[in-house]
Amino acid sequence: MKSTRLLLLSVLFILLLNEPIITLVDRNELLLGIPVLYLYVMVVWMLLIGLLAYVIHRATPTDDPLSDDD
Amino acid sequence: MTSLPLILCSLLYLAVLFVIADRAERRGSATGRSVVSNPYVYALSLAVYCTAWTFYGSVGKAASEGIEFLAVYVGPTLTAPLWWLLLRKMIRICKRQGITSIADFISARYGKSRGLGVLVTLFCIIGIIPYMSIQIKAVAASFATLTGQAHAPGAFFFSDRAFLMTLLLAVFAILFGTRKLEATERHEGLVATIAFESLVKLVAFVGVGAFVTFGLFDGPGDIFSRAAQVPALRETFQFGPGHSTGDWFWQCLISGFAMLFLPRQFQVAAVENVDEKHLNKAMWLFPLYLFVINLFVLPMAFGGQLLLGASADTDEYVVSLPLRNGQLGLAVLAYLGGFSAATSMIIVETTALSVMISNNLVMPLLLTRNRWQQRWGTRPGPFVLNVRRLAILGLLLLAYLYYRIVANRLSLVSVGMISFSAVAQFAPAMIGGLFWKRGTRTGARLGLLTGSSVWLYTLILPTLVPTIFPQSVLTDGPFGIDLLSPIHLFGLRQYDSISHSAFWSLLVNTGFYVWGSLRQPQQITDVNQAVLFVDVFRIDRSRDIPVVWKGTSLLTDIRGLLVTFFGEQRADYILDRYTRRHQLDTSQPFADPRLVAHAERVLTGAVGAASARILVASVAKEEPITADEVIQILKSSQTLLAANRQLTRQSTELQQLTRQLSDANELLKTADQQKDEFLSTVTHEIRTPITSIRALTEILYDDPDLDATTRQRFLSTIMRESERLTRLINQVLELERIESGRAPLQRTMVSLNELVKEAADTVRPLATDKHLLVKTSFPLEPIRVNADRDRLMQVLINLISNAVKFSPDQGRPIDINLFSRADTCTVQVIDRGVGIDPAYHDQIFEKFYQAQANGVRKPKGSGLGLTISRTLIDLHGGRLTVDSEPGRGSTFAIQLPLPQPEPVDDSVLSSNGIIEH
Repeated sequence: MKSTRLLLLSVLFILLLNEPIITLVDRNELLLGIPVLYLYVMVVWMLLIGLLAYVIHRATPTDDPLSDDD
Repeated sequence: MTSLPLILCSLLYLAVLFVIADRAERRGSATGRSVVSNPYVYALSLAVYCTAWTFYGSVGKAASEGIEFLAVYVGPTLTAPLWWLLLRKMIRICKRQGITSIADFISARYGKSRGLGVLVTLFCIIGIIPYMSIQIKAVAASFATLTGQAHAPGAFFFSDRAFLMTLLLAVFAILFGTRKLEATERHEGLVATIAFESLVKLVAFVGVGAFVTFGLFDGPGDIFSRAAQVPALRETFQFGPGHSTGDWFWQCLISGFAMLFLPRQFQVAAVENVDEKHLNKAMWLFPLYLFVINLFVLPMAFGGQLLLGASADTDEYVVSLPLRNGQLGLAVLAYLGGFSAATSMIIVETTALSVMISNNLVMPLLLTRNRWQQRWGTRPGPFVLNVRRLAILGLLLLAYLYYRIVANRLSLVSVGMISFSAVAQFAPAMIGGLFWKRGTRTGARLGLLTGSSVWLYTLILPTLVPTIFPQSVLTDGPFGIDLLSPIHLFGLRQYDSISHSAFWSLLVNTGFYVWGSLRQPQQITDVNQAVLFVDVFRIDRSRDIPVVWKGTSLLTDIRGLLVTFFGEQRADYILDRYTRRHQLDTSQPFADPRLVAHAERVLTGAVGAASARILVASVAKEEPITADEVIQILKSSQTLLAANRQLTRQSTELQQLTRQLSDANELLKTADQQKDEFLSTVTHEIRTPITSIRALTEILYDDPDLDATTRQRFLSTIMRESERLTRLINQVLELERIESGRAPLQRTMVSLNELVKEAADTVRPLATDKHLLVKTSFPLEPIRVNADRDRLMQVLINLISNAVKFSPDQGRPIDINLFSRADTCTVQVIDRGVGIDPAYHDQIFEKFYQAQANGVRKPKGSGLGLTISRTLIDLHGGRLTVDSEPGRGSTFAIQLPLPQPEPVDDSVLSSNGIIEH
């Protein structure tokens, strides 16, 4: 279960940080004083770290020690 | 700033690292509570990923190309969630198999192949040397920037600071990396140092970044809005015009691979891991580290461009920005940060590579030479360590040479990415080896060879262009063949050189790995190792370690082997511990196979899988294991199960057969008994009338003067008995004919109403004699059956006359009912006579039953009537039953099937596909 969640997380963010989605923010504009592309990448990156920590530490205590290995 | 204080500063910093390493090792061995056994230290040690390249090169690349530098850090972040699948498995396998390097890992996975170990080691050296050279370059350059000297390296080796730096780092790496022989024993000092250095890097870089962003500017917004005024800088807010959709993806991908497969990453992430649980924290702490260290890269790059213009080296902004703004202390901190990044990378990388070189190149070569055994055989332990020390020195000298000749001309980032795409070549063999049992040695070798060839052709060859090859190779392609141009292979022009090379090399590599694996059957050791790797979690859980090893080895020989490498004390400790834990019998001169396997694992930790194999083979009389044997070992349990199942099935079949036989036997016995009974009954039945006939005729013969009345009575008895005898014999013959099928039924459509009426009429005179009424009842509609008229009549007459026989004189009437229900019709013959006990209901239908019946219903016939009746009804497909109780009369019922209705007409049949004409 933990492995599946982590795999999905990886796939989701690979999509968010690649073509074609990244092209949507590839603009020569500033948002909050920061180029839109930079802001987007940094925010998504932070989101990934946060979700990763959440998935790992939420899963650890409840995970069945046997299914842990699969 | 002059050189001397900075040199002193560097030496002081190295001294601090020494103290940390020393304390960590002492604490680890003295108290057993290791500093390294901590998820935060583990996560920080992974940050050895960030080298001097990160420290200086990121800013340089960001300044020229904007956000693209981030791919190198986003890649590992995107793959971090998969560490739970990949890295955890790698860690577990390394621990179980005593694996200490990536070359050992690949060699061990594919049947402990020496060739693969050599291949991976050589490729690592080729791929990593440039990477190490840029560390030297970075440190030398930042030193030059700080002391205000020229960047170009000195003319003479010993007057070149970079060379002295290289020697210093070599000494340092040797002191850290080669303290113990067993590489599986952790380098606690090394790991503690790296973790510390990662902290220094982070603090220094964030410190400088914050100073530039908030000290020299009013925050990032200020920097970006000012940069937006400069058209050249504004362009880098986006992916550059040369950016193609694939570049970002491929750079993310190879960075993700590099995070796991660079020799130093493998060392800290898999080999030095203390506890798999540390992965839980490291999986998000490490990406967080990358995020934080990159937070100020872009502001620093734009700030540098705005303040320093095009005059300064973009790779040196981290040092030059504070320096030019009068922050000498911050500049020195930045220098130390970069120095940290470079030293930690070099120490770990050279340690990892030296272990590979000694275990996969030198030892297997020497162990197969007899002369070596004589010369070094007594003390190979120190010899191995010396090989490693020399390897470290040699590697750093090579890196220095590369720096002098090549790296000086290239930017940090481009050299770094060349190394990344080199180790990405391990990905198919590694990931395939972890999850695909069918992956074989041939496939791994083919994939690695072809992939690295493409890598060399597309990435390394272009760097040699003006020096060795003419320019036309790049522009027109080799021999003027445009499609084979190394930088636009097959006309692929959309990608940058790294993505271009990554795509083609990984495509070819993966393709050949799969094709080579499927091309021919796997070898035995290949299969065994594949199972041990792919199923490592399952095998661990079942605590069942398959040892496919056959042969005999003296315990003293195994001990001798361990003593040679680890000394008496340690060898005995290793043997005792294993023997105790597995309760092995040590009284035998021969070593237990499990102990031999364990000794091989321990030796693998010291000299590598391939060398350990050779060593154990040298002292053990191994019998070659044939394919059949391995298959047998692997399948023995399955075979046993299958054989067992077959036996069970066979015995069940045999039991069934036995039962059938005994049943048949019983039947035979019963039939035999019945035959005997029948014969005795028949003879008895025949003897009775014959006896009386004979007695009466004798009287008549002996006594001619008998009076006429008596004579008449005798003669009439003789006649009656003769008739009875004839009837009996006829019936026996008839029964025999019916049962043997020699009297077939003559079936016609018969009206039962008429038949019953006729039978009743036939018997009525008998009934009238006894003053009995015979009443019949029919339905209005005649019931017609397909039957033998005469036989059916015979049965009806038999039943009705029986009813008359067993009814008392002037008794109540005999009822004959005929009716039909559903597809059967029934004829009931009901008398109100003495009745039959239900216990005898079955027996009355047996032959001559009345012979044994005890007066319940003493018959006056032959005893065959009911038997014949039942047999005849059976032949008609019907049933003859009786319902009776003593004193209440009996009801005999004949049930006959009614003829089936006419079949459905032709059209219906043909619509179902059945055509009948």
